Amino acid sequence: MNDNSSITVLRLAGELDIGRREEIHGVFQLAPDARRVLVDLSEVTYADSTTLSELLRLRADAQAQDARIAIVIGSKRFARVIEYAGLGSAFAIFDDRGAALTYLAPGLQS
Amino acid sequence: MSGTRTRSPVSSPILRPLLVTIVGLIAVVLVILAGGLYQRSLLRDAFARSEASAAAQRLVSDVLEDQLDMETGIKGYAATHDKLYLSPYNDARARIGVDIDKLESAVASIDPSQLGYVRDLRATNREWSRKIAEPVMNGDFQRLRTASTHLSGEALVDRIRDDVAMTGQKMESHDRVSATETRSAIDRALSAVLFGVALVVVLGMLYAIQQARLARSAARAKADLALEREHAKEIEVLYTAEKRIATTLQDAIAQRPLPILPMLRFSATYVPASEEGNVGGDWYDAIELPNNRVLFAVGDVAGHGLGAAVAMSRARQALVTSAILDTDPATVLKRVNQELLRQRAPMVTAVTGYADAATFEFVFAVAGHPPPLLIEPGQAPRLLSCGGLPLGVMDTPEYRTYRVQTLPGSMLVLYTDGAVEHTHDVLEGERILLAAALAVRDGSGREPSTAIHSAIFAGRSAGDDVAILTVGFDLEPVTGLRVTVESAQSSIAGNLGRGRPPGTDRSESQTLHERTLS
Repeated sequence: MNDNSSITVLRLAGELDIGRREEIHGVFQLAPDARRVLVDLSEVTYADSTTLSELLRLRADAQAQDARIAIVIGSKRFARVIEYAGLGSAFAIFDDRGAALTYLAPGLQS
Repeated sequence: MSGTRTRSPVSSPILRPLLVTIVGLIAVVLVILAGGLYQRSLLRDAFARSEASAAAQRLVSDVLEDQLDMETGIKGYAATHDKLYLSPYNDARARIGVDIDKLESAVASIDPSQLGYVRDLRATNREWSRKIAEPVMNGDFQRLRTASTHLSGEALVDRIRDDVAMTGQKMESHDRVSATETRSAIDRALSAVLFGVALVVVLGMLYAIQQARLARSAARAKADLALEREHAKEIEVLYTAEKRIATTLQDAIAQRPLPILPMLRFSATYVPASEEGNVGGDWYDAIELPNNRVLFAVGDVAGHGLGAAVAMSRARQALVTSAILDTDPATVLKRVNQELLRQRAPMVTAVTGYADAATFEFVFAVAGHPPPLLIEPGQAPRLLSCGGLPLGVMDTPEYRTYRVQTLPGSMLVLYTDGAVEHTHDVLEGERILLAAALAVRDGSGREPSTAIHSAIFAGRSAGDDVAILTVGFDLEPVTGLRVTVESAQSSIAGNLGRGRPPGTDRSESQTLHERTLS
C-alpha cells in the first residue's frame, strides 16, 4: 500500500455521529501508509466532530508522509458542515469520484 | 460482614498450629509414658528372671549341700557304726527331695532345656541311695570299702556335682543375660526419654518459628489492609473530586454572571444534553478584561463526559489568558491552538472576539465553529461567512480576524453546533435558527438567548449540549453614562488598532465591512 502505484479508497456512508465512533476510527486506520487516499463520503449526510477530527488527523499524517488526499462529498448538508468546520480550505474536496481520481492520478506509476 | 471476613483468616492460622502443637506434645508425652511403662515391665521381668536365677543358684547349692550331707552321714555311719553320725544324712535325705523339686520348678521356669541336668541329678541321687546309702543303712558296712562300690559311689557323687555345677552355671549365665537385658532396657528407657526431650525441643522451636512467621504475615496483612483502605480513600477522594469538578463546571457554565455594561447587552443560555449526568464540552464566555475590553467566546470540545469538561475548562482558560496577552482574535486563536496541542487536548471549535462599542463593529475569529449570526434592525438575520480550522489538531492553522460594521441595536448570536445539528440536517437547522432570530429581532421581551432556544426546540430536549450567547449594541446610548462609554470606546479601538496584524486581515475585514454597508 505504501507505494505510488495505487489509490486507496476509504468509504463511509449515512449519518456519522459519535455512536459510530469505533467504526469510523477503524475505517480511518485502514491504510496508515497509503500515499494516495480517496475518502469517499458521497453518501454521508451528516457528520459530527468525530469524523471531522479523524479527517484532520488523516491530513496531519498525510502531510508528514507527503501523501495526497481527496475527499468526495455528495450531500449539501454535509458540505455545509465541512465548510463551517473550516475543512474546505484544508482539503481537496470534490463533488464526484471522477474529479477526485483525476486529482489523485498525476504521477501514478502503472 | 466485613468484620467476620477480616477476623476468620487471621484467627484460624493462629489457632490451628497451636492445636497441632498441643496435640503433638500430648502425643509425645503419651508415647514416652507408654515406652516407660513397657520398659518398666521389661525391667521387672529382667529383675524377676535375675532373682529367679539367683534363687535357682541357691537351690543348686542346697541340693549339693544335701547330697554332701547325705554322703558325709553315710560315710560317718559306715566308719563308726554310730547312728549319731546318721543325723546329717537323715536331715539331708528329708530335704533333698523337696529341694530337687524346688530346683526343678525353678529351672523349668527359667530354662526348661536345662531340666535334663536336674532329672539326672535326681536319678543319680536315687541310684546313689540305692547302691550306697541303703546297703550301708542295712548294715553292709563293708560295702563302702570295696573298691568298686567306693568308686561307683564317688562317681555318682561326682556326677551329682557335675549336674549341680552345670545347673548352677546355666543359672548364672541366665543371670548374666538378665543383667544385660536390664542394662539395655535402662539404655532404651534413657534413649526414649532423650528422644522425647529432643522432640519437645524441636516441636517447640517449630512452634516458635511458626508464631514468628504468623506474626510477620499478620503485620503484613495489617499493612495491606491499611494500604487498601488508603487506596479506597484515595479513590473516594478522586471520585468526589471528579464529581465536584463536573458539578462545578456545569455550575460555572449555567451560572456565569454576564458583564453589565453601558452600550452592551449580553444574554446567554446553556442547556446540557438530555442524557443525565452527561456534562458536555460546550461553553460560552463574556468576560471583562483589563483596558475596558469585553471578550466574548463560544466553544465546543469534541466528546462528552468529564474528559470533555476538563478539556473545555482548559480551553477556556487558554482563551482568556491569550485574550489578555493579545487583542487580535486570530492571534488569540493561534495561541490557544498551540496551548491545546501542547496539552494534547481533544479537538475544540470556537468563535471569539470583541464588540467595539465605539464603532458598532463586531471583531471576531472562528476555528471550525458554526458561523455567528447577525441580527440588524430592519434587516433579515444572516449567518456571517467566515472560516478557520478547529483548534488542537493542526500545527500551524491559519486564522483570520473578521470585522463586521453594524448599526446601533444590532446583535451578534453565537451558538454551538447543537443549535443547528439537532435534526442532523445542518441546512434545515440553520433555517430554523434564522427564523428564531427573526422572531427575536421583532421583539418578544424575553432574553434573546432564551427566546432563540425556545423557538428552536419548543420544549423538546436536545440530544446534544446547546449554548447560545448574544452580544448586542444598545439602540440609544444612555446620556448619563456617556463619559464612561466614550473612554471605554477609545480604549477598545486603540487596542484593536495595535493588535491588528498586517496583511490580508485588513483587506478581508474591509470586504466584510463594505458588504455589510452595501
